Amino acid sequence: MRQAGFVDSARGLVSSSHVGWGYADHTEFWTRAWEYLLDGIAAGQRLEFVGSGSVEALRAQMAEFTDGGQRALWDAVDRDRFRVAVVDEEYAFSEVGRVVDPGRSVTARVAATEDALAAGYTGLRAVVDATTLAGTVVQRAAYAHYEYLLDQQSTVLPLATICAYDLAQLGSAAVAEMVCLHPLTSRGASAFRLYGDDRAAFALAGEIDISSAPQLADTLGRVLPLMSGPELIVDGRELEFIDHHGLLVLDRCAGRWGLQLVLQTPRDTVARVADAIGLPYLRVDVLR
Amino acid sequence: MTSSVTGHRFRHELFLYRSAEELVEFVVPLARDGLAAEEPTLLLLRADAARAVRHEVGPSPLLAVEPALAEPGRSDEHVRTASTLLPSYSRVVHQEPVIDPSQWSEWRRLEAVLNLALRHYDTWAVCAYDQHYLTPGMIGDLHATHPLIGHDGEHQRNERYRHPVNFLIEHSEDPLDPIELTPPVVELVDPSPTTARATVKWFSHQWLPEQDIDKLIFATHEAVVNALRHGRPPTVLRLWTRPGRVTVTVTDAGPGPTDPLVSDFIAEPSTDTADEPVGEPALGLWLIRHLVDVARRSGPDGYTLRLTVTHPDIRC
Repeated sequence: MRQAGFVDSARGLVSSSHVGWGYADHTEFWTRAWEYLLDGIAAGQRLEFVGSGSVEALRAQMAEFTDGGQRALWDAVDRDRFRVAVVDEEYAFSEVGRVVDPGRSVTARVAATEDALAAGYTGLRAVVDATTLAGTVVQRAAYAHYEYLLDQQSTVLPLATICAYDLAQLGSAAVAEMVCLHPLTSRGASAFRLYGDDRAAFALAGEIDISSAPQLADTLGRVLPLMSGPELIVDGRELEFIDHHGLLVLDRCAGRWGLQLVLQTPRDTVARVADAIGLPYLRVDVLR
Repeated sequence: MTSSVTGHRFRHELFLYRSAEELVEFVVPLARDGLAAEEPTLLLLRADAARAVRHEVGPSPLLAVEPALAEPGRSDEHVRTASTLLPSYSRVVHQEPVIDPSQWSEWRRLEAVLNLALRHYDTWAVCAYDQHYLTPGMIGDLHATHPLIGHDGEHQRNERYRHPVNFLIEHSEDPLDPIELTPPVVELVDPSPTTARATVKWFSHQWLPEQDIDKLIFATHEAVVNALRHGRPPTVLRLWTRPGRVTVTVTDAGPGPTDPLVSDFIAEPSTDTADEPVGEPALGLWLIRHLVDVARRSGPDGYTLRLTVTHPDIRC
């Protein structure tokens, strides 16, 4: 099973990790960025920092939020091993506005990972501030699609990414929409998580209830059309709670996209509730 | 003989007996007449009565004799079972189980509810009770919930029958569990559903196995959501523990569901609310009933749902 759940630090997250982070200020952002990047040095990975603005401004910001110990470690890193880039160059965009092209953007990430391997590194580790790519509903729909595809690649390639979103600029609801597509997230950033899983179409984790059910409906609306059916296994081993609103959302979204979902859970109660309601597009299998 | 019962669709009749012989004497002609009229007949009887009736009536492809219920069980399951059986049978006799006084409040509401829930079925259903296990109060409730009464081979209109909605409104109080008179382990005012779930989990873990805790968490969540959405503030959650048993009450200051069909979880509530990811309010209540023992009362303090999970192997 993938490492999944809430994390309070970006330290010690294994090589193929995909982390969603909602940050409150620059200090928090750079604390996490340094934790994540310095682990990559020890792991022999190539490192990247991707943000908005200019490369020079990003480098200056990075220097400003570096303490002495971090700087000493950093100075020892070969310059070829570390890139600073801006989102506008790092991603492919659709023809209308700053909306990412999910497929082409993920292809570029896969190519960058393969380059890192070819250059002798153990993989690629990136810190991405994606705030400016998730400002509007249209941007978020496209970026969620990208996050889903990137997460799939993160399960099979040595590609580790922390995707950071500015809470002050986007608001917690928009940040939740983005970070819920990562197995690991900052604490409380989203009630539930939906991510890639080697034994299922996707995994659902965390808590889904009446207040997060609308977010689940939006998220499923973005990712279910990308999956092929007819029957999809949903790994619910890390799903701590789901109420009837959540179950109704799973059923309705599956029906809308012509899919049959099979939620696997160790929790007998979920099966009893689903059975009592009678859900045509959702079956609950209890794992013993 | 059955002239007084024609004109009804669902005919819900009470029969009180004092001995197995009396029951058999009542059932045999009822079954014979039914079979003579080619009416499919279902007799749910305990072993002795079943043997005697089979002997008297003889085999018929239209006759089914099955074991009676041994335990009262859950009301919603009875409604569901009856809804699947009744379309196949014109006559049904059920030898009722012995109802413990602690279960009576629920049981009498079920008897009232059946008049509403099964009203579209064209079936004559007789509930046969052994008088030895009934108090005068129980007998009064049974009269009030059965529009027909069988006596001395006659089947007549029961003058003491009350409209089920009125009966349900008047009997919407379940008795207090004595533990409610003791200080709760925890009391929360206006908890969020998340806090309510975490509280139940935290305080139950040493008293119940995980699957039972899950049921109580779910039921508490649905009760709190209903209180916050449909009740009046404040919502108060209280929790008591005993080995193998955890009790939660959720009280809001409102009057509770006004429709007894909602509060009694009769019909399967619709989940068809177009694109809204929110089910009918009644659905939460109806699901609670599937998972835990539930009691309700309304009064000056508001409306209270009491949710209890008992693990039989641990109970002391």
